[in-house]
Amino acid sequence: MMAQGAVVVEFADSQAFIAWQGKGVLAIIKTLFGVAVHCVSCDDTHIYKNKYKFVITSEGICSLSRDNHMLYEGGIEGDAAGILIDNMIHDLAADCAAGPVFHAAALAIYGKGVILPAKSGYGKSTLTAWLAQGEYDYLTDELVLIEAETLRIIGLHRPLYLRAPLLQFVAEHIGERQKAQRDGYDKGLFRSQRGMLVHIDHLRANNLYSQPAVTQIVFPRYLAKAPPRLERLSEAHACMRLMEHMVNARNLKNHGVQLASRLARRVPAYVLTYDDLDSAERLIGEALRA
Amino acid sequence: MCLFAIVEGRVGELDDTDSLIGGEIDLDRVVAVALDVTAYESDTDFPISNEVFLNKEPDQGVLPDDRLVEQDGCFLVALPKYDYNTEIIWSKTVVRCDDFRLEDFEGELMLYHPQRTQAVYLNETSAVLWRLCDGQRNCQEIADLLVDAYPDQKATVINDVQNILDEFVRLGIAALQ
Repeated sequence: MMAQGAVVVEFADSQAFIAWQGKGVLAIIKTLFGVAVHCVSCDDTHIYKNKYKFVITSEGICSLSRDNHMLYEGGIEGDAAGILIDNMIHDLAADCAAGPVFHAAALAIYGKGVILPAKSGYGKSTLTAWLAQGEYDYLTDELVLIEAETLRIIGLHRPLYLRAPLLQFVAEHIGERQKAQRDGYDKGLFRSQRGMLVHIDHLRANNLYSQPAVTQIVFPRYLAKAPPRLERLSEAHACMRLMEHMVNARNLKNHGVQLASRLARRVPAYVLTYDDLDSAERLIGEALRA
Repeated sequence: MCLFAIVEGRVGELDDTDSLIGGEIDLDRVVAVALDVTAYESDTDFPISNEVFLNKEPDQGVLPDDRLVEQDGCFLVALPKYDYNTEIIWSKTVVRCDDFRLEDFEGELMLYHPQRTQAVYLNETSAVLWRLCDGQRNCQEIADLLVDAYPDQKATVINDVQNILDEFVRLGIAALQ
């Protein structure tokens, strides 16, 4: 009989339900979402708004559906995993009303939290991967919720999602550690045509999953041949940029404007333009020390 | 060579000299014609000015006489590299869009439009201008207010007002009526 069960993935007050079936599927889900995964009864499906089904047959065929709508069917686990994580992140962010959620990476160093809000293509994941190999603890590279009063960072723990163009970077800097462990996905990674999911343990084994308060906001932007530059933003400018990266404004009172405003007034914000990762890390470090 | 005619406060681009002189524009209403120096030709006789001539009466202009060239009843003046191909019509009333949530940061503003999920940052100058877009004043009157406040920087102020109001309209945070 094929293994099966159900889990719920939680992010703050937002949840998504996954019914799973097949050998190794639960391990894949746990690798994708880590401590956010909780086992539940298959009979609880009616409780949840967002329902997924993830199956891998004994022949190795993967199928992934959302509310009975097929999202993927094929033989590449990495593709299914990537599609699952993309869709679930969208659902979890869209439903969250516990506080402002930003499309951002987050890291911690010496108890200080740094968030890196950025659009796709601005080098956020690459910079995050670089910093996480050094002294920074990785929190997330996708979704950040900031608690309104404490400014505590709640990141959606998931593997770094490095798109295909960044694979060279990974190959150069992670080296031998990137070998997937076919039978132990808890420390593995998934390759697909779209990119690669890298478990944070492959970047920095002693990573700490903390929830520090945010002490610095950096809007990164990779620009080829641009001189490295860290520019302090005014509070109004920072607020505007935060609103641009807020993904759940419609769930929040006054569309989250006051929450973003309060964050912008309390936490220094910068625009980081960089061409090389060493300079970017140095500039972020200098701002933190300042 | 590009020429711009200033007609009752509106700056309009003209295709060439012939179309200006030839008749699409009523010369009686032309108060100045400007040369765009982005297409400036070194052998032209037109002097270069860093100021914009927008007065309704040419003889009340702020530009020195030697920077103006009278031609067929028009005054010609060379302009710096600004984009004067503007949509702003100076006689129109400009009204700010009230659908934006507003956060005031001691002069600077952050505007957020929930339906469009659009965030806009306004520096102090733009914020002052946006507040003046109350539907009671046309663009010219708004410019005049600021010129009164900064008479020594008239040309710069007018140019800034023009660019900022253009940007307001482009961003959809204000509309011309």
